[in-house]
Amino acid sequence: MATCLAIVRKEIKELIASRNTMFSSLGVALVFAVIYGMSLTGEGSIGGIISVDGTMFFLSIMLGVFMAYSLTGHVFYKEKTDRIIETLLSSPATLRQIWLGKVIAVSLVAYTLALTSVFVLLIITGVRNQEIILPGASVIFHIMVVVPIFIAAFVGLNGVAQLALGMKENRLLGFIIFVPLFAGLYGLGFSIGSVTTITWLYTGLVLAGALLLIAVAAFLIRFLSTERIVTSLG
Amino acid sequence: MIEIKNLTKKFKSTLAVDDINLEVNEGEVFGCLGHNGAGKTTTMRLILGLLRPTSGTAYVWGQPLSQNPHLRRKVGVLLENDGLYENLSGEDNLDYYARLYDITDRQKRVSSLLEYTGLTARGKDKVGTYSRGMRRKLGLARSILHSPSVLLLDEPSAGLDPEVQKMVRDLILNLAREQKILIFLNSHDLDEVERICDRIAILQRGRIIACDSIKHLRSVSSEPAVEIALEEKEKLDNAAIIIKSIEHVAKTIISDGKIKVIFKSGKSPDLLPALVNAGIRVDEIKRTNRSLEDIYLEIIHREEKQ
Repeated sequence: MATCLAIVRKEIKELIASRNTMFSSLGVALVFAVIYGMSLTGEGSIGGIISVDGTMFFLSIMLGVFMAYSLTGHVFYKEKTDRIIETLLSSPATLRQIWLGKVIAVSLVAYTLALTSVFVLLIITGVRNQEIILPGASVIFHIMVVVPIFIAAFVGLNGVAQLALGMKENRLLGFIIFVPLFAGLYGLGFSIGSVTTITWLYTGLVLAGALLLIAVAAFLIRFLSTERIVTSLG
Repeated sequence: MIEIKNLTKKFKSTLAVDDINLEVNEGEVFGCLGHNGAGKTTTMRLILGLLRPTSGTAYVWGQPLSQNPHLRRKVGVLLENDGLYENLSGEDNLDYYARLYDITDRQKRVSSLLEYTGLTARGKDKVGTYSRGMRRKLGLARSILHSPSVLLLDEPSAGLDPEVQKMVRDLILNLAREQKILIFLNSHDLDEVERICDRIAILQRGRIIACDSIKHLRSVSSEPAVEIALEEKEKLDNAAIIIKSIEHVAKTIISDGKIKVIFKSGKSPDLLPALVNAGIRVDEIKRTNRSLEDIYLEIIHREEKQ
């Protein structure tokens, strides 16, 4: 556990020290919060987004995944390109501890950024409407429980892929899987954003998706080996 | 100690390491020499457990490192990459590894190593702002942070300026002599290896083609050699041609304004008469020890011919 915590601590410290990454991530989180906040309270709406529940439901998970994707590359992929991973794998830390430590660190930072965005959205809508409009119970559950699980599952899976795949394959992965995923999420966001009530069914579906991702990551990590990582360094 | 038995590693159709047998003992500085692709780094990765052997074993203290994270606490590593994070300070880098190795009194150990490597003043600066030499020194500090019993170094002084090279060399020698650490190093730098290693192995195409102390390799492989300095340096080329035509002379090498003459079959003919007859005045003629470079090249060429 101490080893895992040391990795979490270092990764968070390094992410915070990477000012460009953090500023751009925070910038994206705030821009999205402002855009959606303004559209929720404006005369008209952007893309038909009119529901606070729907917007928060969508924004929290979309931004969480986006941040997770961008930070995962910084934490997993960069360690391979810099070849530091070899030194790390020669230390007493096991491959699973390294993976888990990184997953926790990235998830914590990505989730914090997503939460910040949701919080700013709440403030903007509150100020413009002169009252704070709190989301429904299912959305609060979604934000507090489902989103962090989904982010962690996504980071876990993405982390396994980035550790296992070679440099070219990793770049391809971004185009083949993650670009369509974002496009899908974005499209889904607009349709969900227009839904006035987020039922437990929506929350349950996302939770099921997160559990599926965890199952896939847990399955794949069994095939991840030190040799696989070292031979894919290029 | 490191014990390697019948170690073989194949990558698809490429045989990277071919049936290596080796034993390195406590307090010994062991050097692994070879061209790029000879199998040095693969051998080190196999010892570290980063790669799985196709057959054979590579044990440290009687066990494979891959299956024993606790044993890895006794092993220090400095690979070609220093294993440092550019966005963290030197101090934070060492602190991180100190946590991974579960070192008690981390702060004291980190401070003492920064001082030892002369990096105290830059300890709080990001490693990204360090020079190549400073990074290497910090990398070395990182590798000995947990006081290992075995230290594996891959090209420890590659790309460093002579001053830092000497510092790294002295540090390695100090670790081996005073702290009795087993040091296994890969290097291209024959001069470095000659200065610090007790024994060497020469690898070619994944096989060990020679493994012994430098002294012994020199005594068994060396043909006699002499070094000749002339009064008139402009006659060096001419003199070399004359010497080469003398019976039993295998090779002449001109370097540093002198001619190095290597003889065949243990014979050492008199060179002076031929030079004097040609009107070349000799300033100095002396027997020389052949450098590790000569021995290395001789062994490699002999192997290639076979």
